[in-house]
Amino acid sequence: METDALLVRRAASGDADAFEALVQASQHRIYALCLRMTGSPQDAQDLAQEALLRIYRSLSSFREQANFDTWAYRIATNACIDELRRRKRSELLSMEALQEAGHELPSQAPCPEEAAIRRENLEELQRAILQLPADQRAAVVLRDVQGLSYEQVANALDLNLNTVKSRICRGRQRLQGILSQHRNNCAKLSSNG
Amino acid sequence: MDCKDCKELIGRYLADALDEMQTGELRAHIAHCEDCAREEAQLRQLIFDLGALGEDIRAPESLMQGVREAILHDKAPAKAKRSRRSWSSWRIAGAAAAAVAVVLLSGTLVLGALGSGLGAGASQAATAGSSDGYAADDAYVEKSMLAPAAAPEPTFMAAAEVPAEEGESASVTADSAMRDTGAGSGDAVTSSNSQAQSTGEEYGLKIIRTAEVYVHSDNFDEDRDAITALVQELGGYITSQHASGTALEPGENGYGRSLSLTVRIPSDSLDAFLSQSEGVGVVQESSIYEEDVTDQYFDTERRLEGYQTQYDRILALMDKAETVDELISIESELNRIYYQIESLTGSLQSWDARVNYSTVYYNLEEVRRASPVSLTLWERMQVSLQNTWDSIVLGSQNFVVWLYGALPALGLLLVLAGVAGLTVALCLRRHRRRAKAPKEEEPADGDKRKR
Repeated sequence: METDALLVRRAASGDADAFEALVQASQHRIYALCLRMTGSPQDAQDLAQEALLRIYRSLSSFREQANFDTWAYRIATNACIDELRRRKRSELLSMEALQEAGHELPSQAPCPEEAAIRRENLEELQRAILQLPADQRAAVVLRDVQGLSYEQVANALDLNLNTVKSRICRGRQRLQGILSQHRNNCAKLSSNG
Repeated sequence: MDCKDCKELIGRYLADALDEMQTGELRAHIAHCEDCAREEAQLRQLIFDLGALGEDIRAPESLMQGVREAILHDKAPAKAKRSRRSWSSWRIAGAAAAAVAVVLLSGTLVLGALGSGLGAGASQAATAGSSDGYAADDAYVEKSMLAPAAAPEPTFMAAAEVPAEEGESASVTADSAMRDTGAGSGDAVTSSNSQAQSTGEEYGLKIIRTAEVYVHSDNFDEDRDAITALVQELGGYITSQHASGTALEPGENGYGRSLSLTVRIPSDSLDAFLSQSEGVGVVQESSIYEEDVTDQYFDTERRLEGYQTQYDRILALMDKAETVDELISIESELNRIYYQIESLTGSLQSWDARVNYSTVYYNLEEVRRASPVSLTLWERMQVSLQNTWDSIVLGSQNFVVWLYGALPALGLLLVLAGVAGLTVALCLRRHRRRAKAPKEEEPADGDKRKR
């Protein structure tokens, strides 16, 4: 895109205004991706900021015939996955520690009432997403939350189509499993109490 | 099919990962199994709910402020520093990965030396591994197969040319350029309306249509050429293509090469493209999505007008400016507004381009025998029979190949077996001799025991 190419050149030479104009539209999508990958607005903002800076610093490697938004989104996705992998160890440790201490992770979430409002269900779903491994989480969030096509997900993750499909498939089934386990726990709790 | 298999298949079905046979069997099972029908409904609900998680998220304003500060002061934010701190753990992980790779590689080599049949598997694994890395700086290359300069987006190009020429010159030229740009985008809107045929456009709606097509092909090269020709014929162009896999060997089943194309087709030709592409390969799945951007489009247009008025007003102030400081601050304000105008114009043009040209994600997968999704019982029996026959042929071919490759090992085995056989035979003969001998030596033995 001609305007993008112009803005990229200006931004690459250190023009913050040009960069802001360049990511005007995509910053929301990038933030949404980070929010769903981390589950916390604060983390999402930190991560989105890092992703945007990474985009800024990679501007020189942008090839002008490519679509800027697609390219930027791919870098942001990589930033998210890197961050999740970086955190993975500590996160896993803390989760294991919780489970050893007798905490059933899903049941830490409040159990929804019978007439559960939709928002609670979505919060529960977000918590379940956070329990997916980084690879599956990225694939499911990109496809089902962000609404990319399988092909676009494959591009963003630099994977082949079949791998992406199987990751999405496994991720969804795992989510389903986590949610139904949580609902069973809730049912038990309410029948005991 | 039992319900346990079914659960697995439902997941793959909803991830577009089932072949036509499995899909047929699955649908047949679900039709009379309530549990599995519920399973499918629940998974569909999950996917729907996930979609709702993505709605209406806007980045906080502080996000761009933070980015701007970091850029201006050219300093990395806290997160970036943290990554440097964990560098040593990365190095350890890298060393571990290298060690694993060495073990795997040497294992593969040893296995490869043991049996020539394993070679193919090892090379496949190597390819899969190389595609797994995430390279952030590795730009997503969009290859234009058909001459990009002749990309048929005349309205959009004409409108974009002006600011590209203008560059960073004085504000007066910027002003005239901006007016030209405004006129250009106006033209784009008019021509998009005259060009559009779909009903939505007649009411001034801005609708982006996107299609996704999955096709099985048993004549990959011809089908690939056919689809490329069809795109050209309808005035479309290919923006990116991704090819993977290796060609199917004769007699090999499963999946061979796959080709993913991103195609832009004039929106009024999208239906023609989809119907004519049915003649290429066997369409497994074809879907169209419509996104209505009318609201955002006209909202952006209004904001653009607002900025343009503001720009003119501030420009007028410039004549009244008396000090250099005033001039500088006016100019920087003009710059800021100019970028906003440019960005909004860019959004409008991008929408126009996407409304005028639909995107099609076209996926061509090579299979041994492409068959339609809905098969009659007889067709399914035929396919099944053919598949079994193919496996028998493939199996015997593989056996012959293996036998040939294993000849040295078999020869060695033969020698070993011969040696073992000889040894056994010798032992047996000695035993038999001993069995005869004791009768003569018995008295001597008896004497020894007595002593």
